[in-house]
Amino acid sequence: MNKIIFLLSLCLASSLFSTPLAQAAMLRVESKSDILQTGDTFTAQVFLDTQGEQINAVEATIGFSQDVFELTEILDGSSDITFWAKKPEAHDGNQISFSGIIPGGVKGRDVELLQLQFKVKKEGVGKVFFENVQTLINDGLGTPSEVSTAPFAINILGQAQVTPVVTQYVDTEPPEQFAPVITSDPDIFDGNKMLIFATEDKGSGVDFYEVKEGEFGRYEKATSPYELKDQTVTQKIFIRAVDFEGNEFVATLFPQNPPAWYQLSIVKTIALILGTVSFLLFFRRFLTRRSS
Amino acid sequence: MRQPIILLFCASVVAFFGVLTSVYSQSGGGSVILDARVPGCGDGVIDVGEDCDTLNLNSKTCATQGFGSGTLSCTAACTLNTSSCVVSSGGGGGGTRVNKAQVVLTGRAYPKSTVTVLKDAQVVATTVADADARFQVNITGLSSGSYLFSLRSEDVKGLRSPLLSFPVSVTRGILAKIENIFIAPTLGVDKIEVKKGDPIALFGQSTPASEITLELNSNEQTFLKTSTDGSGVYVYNVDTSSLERGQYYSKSRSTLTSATSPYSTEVRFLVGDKNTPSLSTACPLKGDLNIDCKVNLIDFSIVAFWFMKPLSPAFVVREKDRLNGDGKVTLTDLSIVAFYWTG
Repeated sequence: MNKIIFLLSLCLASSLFSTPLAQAAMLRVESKSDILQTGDTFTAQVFLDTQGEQINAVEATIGFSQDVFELTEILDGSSDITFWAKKPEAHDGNQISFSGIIPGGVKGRDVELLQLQFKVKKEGVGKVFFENVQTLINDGLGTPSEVSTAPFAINILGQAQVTPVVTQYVDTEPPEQFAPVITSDPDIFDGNKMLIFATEDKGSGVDFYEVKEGEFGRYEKATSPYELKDQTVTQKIFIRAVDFEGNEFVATLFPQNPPAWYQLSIVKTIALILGTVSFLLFFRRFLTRRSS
Repeated sequence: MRQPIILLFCASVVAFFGVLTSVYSQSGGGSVILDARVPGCGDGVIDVGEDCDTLNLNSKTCATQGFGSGTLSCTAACTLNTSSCVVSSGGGGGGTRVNKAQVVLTGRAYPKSTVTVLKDAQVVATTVADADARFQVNITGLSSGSYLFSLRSEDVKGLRSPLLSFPVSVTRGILAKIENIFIAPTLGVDKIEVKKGDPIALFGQSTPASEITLELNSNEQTFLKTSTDGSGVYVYNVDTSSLERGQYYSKSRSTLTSATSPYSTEVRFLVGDKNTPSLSTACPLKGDLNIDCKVNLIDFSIVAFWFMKPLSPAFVVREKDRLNGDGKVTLTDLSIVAFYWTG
């Protein structure tokens, strides 16, 4: 009897929250977990079905039942989105927003956008749904395509018998190699030199970037474009990409304008003075020994 | 007293020359040189996470990597470089065992044209097609995961094909093959306005001896057919005496035996009262924010910087010229950049 009530409530929830239109790009949420109980963690995958259109830009806000689900992680390592104008981020307690592009566009039924990991807080009907969805056609004009959504709804039972499916990520590989560039733009940072960089991590996704200017500088969290502190670009620049598992890849840019000896930093100057002084001391002692 | 002074002297000299060496040795003669490498890589010792290190290939050869023959080398990131390895003939898709994921892309472009391959929108390889327009590109050292591979080519006049993209999911140890890629033809037009009754030439390049279908759109849709010559070039002179005055759009595609290419980029012309020659340019019409004839990560970064922000008066001018001209940067502008992407 309980099973029948569960199936009926699932059908009702699905019919209420999924009304896809024919021949329109469709965003959907899928989970391999059919039955969940309080305390479980599960992964919800967000897919785009382009319905035969070549889509090159997507943005959406995803909402979820805050009383039933707790968002534990947002994963974009396996996303087909190439560049994020707005990386997926949680806000307002129960929403995740993102905007991104796929240069050249993509066509397919299972274009993965991102994965969301939730923890089940309590019994009830849990939903993951879409708001403000926009998908644009790869036509050079940014023409919006028709779009529909198929959200996810599940009835959380107190005493489920089946272990939920949670995707386990074992990511031991660093983010992909990348080639940062130094450039400037008259309308950004008052035309100052800036660093542009981006890479991907096919496992857990890129968590953050850090930039260090000079061998003895300190790594600081950074986003691209990054305004260089040293506008003369006389030092090495290190750009560290770190994934969600802590694997990292460091790209190094060598100075465009290596400094003259008199432009060396304090540490280097001290090394220079120490070297000179000790040489003189040694030479003086050597001469003294010879004369005696 | 003597020993400390000698020690101090030696340490200082080492530090001094070390500092000077670190500053000057790799300055690259005034240009920025990229040396992206995994920490620990480059010491000749294969550490955890490295497939090779400089000349130490860990007893690997092209043959052990699933290729027939060739020369294996090591990249600056300590991954195996199989770009000089040759795939055995008669493969026919499926799973050759290799150490890291690899993708082999084969197909047709234009005779002797440069084919550019993008991996997730960044240029990873270029090759030159042979006289029959055939090309093959090996992409090696890939991590397991899903990638978007895109290809484009450039014809003898510098016209570019649109990007042709393939989402590919690769697994470590498997050689994935994407075969029979047919890059879209290029298409150009000799006038942006033609006097009614005068001819207008639509031209481009594709695979030799292929059939070209030109689609001419206005109020009505017309299909015109021609063929490429031995060098893949085609020209179709459209007689405009039978065309109504107005704006026309055209695109082309190529057919060789049973294979048909995607459509070329679209060209536009006006049938009117005068002849205005087309200013031939290989540069993208839109999306190129820094005017370097490329649309890539730099342009995306500029657009992303202004995304959903109030624009500066100076940038409003560029937005009008290079994006959709509505005075703001939204998803539509990002879509324009994505369409004109060159990598």
